[in-house]
Amino acid sequence: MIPPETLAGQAVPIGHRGFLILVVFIGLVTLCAVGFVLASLVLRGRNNRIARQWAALEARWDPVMLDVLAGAASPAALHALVRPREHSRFVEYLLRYGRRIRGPERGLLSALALPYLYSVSGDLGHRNVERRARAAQSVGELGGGDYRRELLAALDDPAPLVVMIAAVALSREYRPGDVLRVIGSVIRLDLLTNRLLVSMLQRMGPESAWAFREVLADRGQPAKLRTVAAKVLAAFNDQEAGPIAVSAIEDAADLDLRVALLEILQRIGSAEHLPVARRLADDPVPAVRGAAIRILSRAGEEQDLERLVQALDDPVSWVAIHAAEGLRRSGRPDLLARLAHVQRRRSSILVSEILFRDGGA
Amino acid sequence: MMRALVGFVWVVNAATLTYFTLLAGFYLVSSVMAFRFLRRYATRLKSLDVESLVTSGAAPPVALIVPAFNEERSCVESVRALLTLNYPEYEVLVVNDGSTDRTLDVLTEAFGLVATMRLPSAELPTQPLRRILRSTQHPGLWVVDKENGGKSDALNAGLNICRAPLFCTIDADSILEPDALLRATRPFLEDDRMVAVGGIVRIVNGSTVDRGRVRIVRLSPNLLARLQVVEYLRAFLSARVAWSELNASLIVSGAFGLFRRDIVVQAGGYSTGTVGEDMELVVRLHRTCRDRGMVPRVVFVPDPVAWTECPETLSGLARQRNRWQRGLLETLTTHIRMFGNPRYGTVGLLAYPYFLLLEGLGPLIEIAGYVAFAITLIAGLWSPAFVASFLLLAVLVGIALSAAAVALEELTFRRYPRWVDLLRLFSAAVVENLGYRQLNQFWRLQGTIAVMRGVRHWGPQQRRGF
Repeated sequence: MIPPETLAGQAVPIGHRGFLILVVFIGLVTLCAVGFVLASLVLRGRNNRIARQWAALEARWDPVMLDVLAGAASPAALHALVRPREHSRFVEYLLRYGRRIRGPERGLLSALALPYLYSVSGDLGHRNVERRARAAQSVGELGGGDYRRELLAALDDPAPLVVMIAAVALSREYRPGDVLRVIGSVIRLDLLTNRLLVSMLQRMGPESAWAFREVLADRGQPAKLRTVAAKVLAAFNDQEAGPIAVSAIEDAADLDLRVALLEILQRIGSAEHLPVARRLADDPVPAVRGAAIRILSRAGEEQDLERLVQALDDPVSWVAIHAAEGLRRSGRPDLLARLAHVQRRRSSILVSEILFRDGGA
Repeated sequence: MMRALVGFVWVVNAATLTYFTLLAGFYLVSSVMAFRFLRRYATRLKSLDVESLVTSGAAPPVALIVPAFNEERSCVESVRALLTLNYPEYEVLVVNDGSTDRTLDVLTEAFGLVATMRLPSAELPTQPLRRILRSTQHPGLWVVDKENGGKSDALNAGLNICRAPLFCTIDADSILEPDALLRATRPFLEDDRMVAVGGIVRIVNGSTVDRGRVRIVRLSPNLLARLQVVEYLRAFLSARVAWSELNASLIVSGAFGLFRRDIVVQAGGYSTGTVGEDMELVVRLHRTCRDRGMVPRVVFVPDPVAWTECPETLSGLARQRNRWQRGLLETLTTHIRMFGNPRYGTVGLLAYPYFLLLEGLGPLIEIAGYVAFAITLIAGLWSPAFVASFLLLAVLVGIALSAAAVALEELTFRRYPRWVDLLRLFSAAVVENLGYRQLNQFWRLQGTIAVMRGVRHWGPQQRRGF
């Protein structure tokens, strides 16, 4: 039996030095814990104070702001209520409105904001990305055309976030001189989905279609850029893009680009595009085949109905679904009713689904 | 004999102190990372008006898949709330997983369901479908009625008829905030490599819910619920933010997650062989994508919120934690080849070892540590240095980290506006480490033992309804 006194402390896997380190560590942690609690309480107090300040500012500005928007008061009446230390807060206040207001009132917002935008535009050169982004957002949203030069410069910002915000702001209206520059900036945003880029760029409106056609026709441009251009043109239902799309399909190696080109034909689809669609309806790539079937669904003739019926049994569900949509549009209820009762279960399910949607279940 | 005991106690004590130190170190680092990220994120949210872009046509269609098993008390209110989300194009696919109560009847009565057909877009194996129903009042609401097969099976049935490029999983008893879907979709638009996005899950107990919306946020008077609020804050605002920053998130909560349908279907859908299907899917997505040469992005975003009910009884909580531990261990053992494997990047080298050694084996080490600590005291083997370090590491560090999580909440989202709730959160951060956390580890140890015994079922669940 070992005497207990010789064992005391033996189950301690730390020596004197280790213990000292632990004491320091624990001291730091205790400080952290107390610090977190105190910081939260201070933060809560600060946040409540800021909320009260905002409530007071809104109570002062809101009634006149509504009068200005209604045309019952001039911008100067509201400017008179903005004190010297409140300039950046006033810009923030207007920015909140900016996100909700569309149409002619936006010009009014710009008129209200312009005297005070200097208080945030300096941040366009700030070293912090988020501060630059915020500044770009403010001048883009409220600056009207006055900060166009700064926004164009922001397209060269090293941070994609700032580029994106500047491009969104510049896309809000069509300016022939800037349109190619804005489209070109998209390539810097290579991580963004095409969907978002298209949504952003199509805000420039169909007047800008010439620039997108130019990009699409230029085989030297990156596939991603041409794909986005094709999708924007499809969204514009741009008739003049048809021939470019037909010619580009022949040598487009990129799958997304091929599908986007077919999207153009699908949107503007006319009889002259049907030969391309008929040929590609048998393409081994499902995405291409599906896009071609969609063209036949929209613009196809009587002779294409058989191909659509065949496509109901395509091994890829999406192709079959596009075909079913085409049959629905064909205005042949007799054909659909017949297909709903055929033994091939897949066709029957699809057609029944469509009949149900149309209230014919 | 005595020497052997001393040796054993020495090893366990050393392992326990190392474990506590590593865990504390991780949470400290993650809190600092989270602090930086959340500040940046808040500014970014202000500067980037993606919502207007999203609503103007960029929003991809989303399908909400809602598995429901015996949810007659809450399903109508939940579905009604889901039908009023602020999102341009989405549909709700409720999967009635062979409920034995009136779930299907109440849905049929409330939404005018009629039988129809729908061509599957995938062919993941599931239990047989009885029928597919569609609402005559809300064209975007579909109900799949099927034989019982468990949550994963229900999710797979929903995936089979899902046609949207993105799908969102949500529990039938959870409430999504109106703009949660918009906010959760944003990362998919900002990064083409995104495969999954998790939102924050908050505890609804104590708050006022009216017509499927959380109207007034309050802490629950129930202590267990309050303790879980602190736990959730720490897990989401600290740990998940940090893993997300490292692109090594292994968990997207089943209560609210958004996924790319095509990638999930290619990966084989949800695994029916585990009770932790949400974690298993994310780990498998990392694995299959990397095996195919793609680096997937799985991120956590802190602003889209799903509110969920947490257990308020010890037995309910014990079952939940037991199940979570089983899910964790099943997933980690299934994909063990990812452990420390550089092929899987930070997931294999950092996240996997962390989850296996500190989360998976944590309960075993911690409980053994408490036992060894008791032996040390009883056998008189202790020294003041050891006792102090053990208790302070086990308790004080935990309090500091929980306080940090509450501070992060205050810094960013401030969902609990009353001073009294803030103070209650801090008191819960203290109490959590004085018994609750140890109890939790005990339940998780039971889960570990259950995995060894091959237990696979979910166990009964109680819902109080909102």
